[in-house]
Amino acid sequence: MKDNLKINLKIISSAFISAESKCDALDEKKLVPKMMLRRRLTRGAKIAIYLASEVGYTHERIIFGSAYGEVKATVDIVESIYNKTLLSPTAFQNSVHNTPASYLSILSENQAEVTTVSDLFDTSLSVLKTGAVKALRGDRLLLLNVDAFSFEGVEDINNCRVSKLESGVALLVEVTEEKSNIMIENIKNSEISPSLWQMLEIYNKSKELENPIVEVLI
Amino acid sequence: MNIKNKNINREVYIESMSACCSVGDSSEVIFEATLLGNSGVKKHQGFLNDETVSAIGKIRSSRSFDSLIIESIENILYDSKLKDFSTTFLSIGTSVGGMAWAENQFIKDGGSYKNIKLEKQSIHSIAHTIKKKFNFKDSITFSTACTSSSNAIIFAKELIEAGAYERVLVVGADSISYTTVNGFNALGVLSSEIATPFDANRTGMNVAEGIGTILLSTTPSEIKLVGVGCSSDAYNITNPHPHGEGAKLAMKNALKSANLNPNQIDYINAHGTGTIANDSAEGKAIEELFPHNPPVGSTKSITGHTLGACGAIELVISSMVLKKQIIPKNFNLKTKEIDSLNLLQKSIKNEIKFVLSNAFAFGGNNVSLIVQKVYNER
Repeated sequence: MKDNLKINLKIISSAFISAESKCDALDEKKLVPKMMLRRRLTRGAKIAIYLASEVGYTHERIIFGSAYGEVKATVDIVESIYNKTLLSPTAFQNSVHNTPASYLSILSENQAEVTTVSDLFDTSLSVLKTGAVKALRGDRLLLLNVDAFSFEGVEDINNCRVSKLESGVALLVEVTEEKSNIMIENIKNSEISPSLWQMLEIYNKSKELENPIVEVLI
Repeated sequence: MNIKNKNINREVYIESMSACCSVGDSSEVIFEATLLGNSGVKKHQGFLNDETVSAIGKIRSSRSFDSLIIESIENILYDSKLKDFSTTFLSIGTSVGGMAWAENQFIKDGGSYKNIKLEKQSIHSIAHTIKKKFNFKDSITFSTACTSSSNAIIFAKELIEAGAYERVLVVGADSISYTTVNGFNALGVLSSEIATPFDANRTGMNVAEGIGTILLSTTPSEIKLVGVGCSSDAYNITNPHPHGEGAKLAMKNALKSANLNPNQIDYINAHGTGTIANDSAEGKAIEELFPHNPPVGSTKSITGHTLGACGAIELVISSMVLKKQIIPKNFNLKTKEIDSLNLLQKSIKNEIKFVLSNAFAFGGNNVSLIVQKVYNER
């Protein structure tokens, strides 16, 4: 069996946010001055835009991850179908998984590559692997992982019983040949959705290091 | 060793491919349908909330969508003569995942979420289904709406070029759901007739389902994936840039990646959904970037728009164009909107070396792929 490719990523900056129901203090008016655009943003998009600002994102390529996607829009659509009422066009256009990253690219007028991955509880790891391979080109990348799933009825599907229904992690990274000082150990966190664990672990470890570098196994 | 740009000269080939959609369950049958003008799009009642008729591309099979995905992968295993997929990476593209299952479960349970299982409802559900049957070394699922499987193909190429894998299986799969049929209807872009991409009198698109399965590898074959390019419109969440700026950038990036000039492209498989906005923007972008006026076509009047699967299915069709050296006609096209576009109304046999295939999505997510016909390598 061939050995896994190892790619080291330098963590240039990182940010994290979470809340039991709704993240506040997202600086929406400052970060999204156009009211029409601000009003259309989903919860995931607002968190993504805030985290991008926190890590100093400018026009980097974006690798976005979300396990559950646009839950509020999806719930609105499914209930419309059940009740045989007309669907909201805004709910539908906001229901795809790449919505937060797309709004971020529109807001920042960034024409670079944006991709979105979703692998349930492995989503965070998929963002890291995708980002590591793409980083081989040599540019800086924004890795984002956001899940916002606060809605009436969430207790029926929140089998992991996580207490923070909104959370997100951002890492601004670039490939390096320097030695890694962060190994991913799959540290659990009962408050946060498992879909964010690996990136949250890197965020937490980065805070303790002067020059954080994570080894990603592909 | 400089890790940046490492191994990017590794060549990536299509070792095996398979497709299934409303017109058939093999690449040969689907390609023949494009030549004959046999559309799989039919009128259905019962999908729209207001009970009106919609024209959609539903797979005609009594079998479940999951079993068709499994069969598609079994075809690849058989064709490639691989023992198993234990050293192969699985790169999936889907825009709705298990949405159809979740809708039916929600309705069955009287509007309750209590039996909604994440592994069956989520985007990851396709991977969940496949990994129950096959043993892949690893997998990642891409979900960028209608470019999902195109982005899965880009990542597959990058993995092989990086030297991480010798083989990557790409699966693009999306099934029909009430969400997508009603959603596109809410946006006012769903046609009640078979779509007529690039026609001046077009009335919209047809939601469809399908599966495209492509085994990419370093093993030389008749078809090489030579270029990939992507871009973001950075313009609007649903509407493309009216002058196709994002589309143009994705095509330019693909040409650069393939080290080709625009005039080397022999055929463009357009995204061509049949909506007013998409076809107009894409047409303008092609017109400006390709002054040598290569043939342009859309096969969505045959297959319907298979959403997240279309990138993979249409790469299969583009590869068939190269294999057969025949460019399919634009079925159902009567009056061209952009007169200068070379939209064929009859299929033609021609010498074709390079085909560029487009896919565009919500959020202004754009991907262009280029495949090449390779002679005497197998």
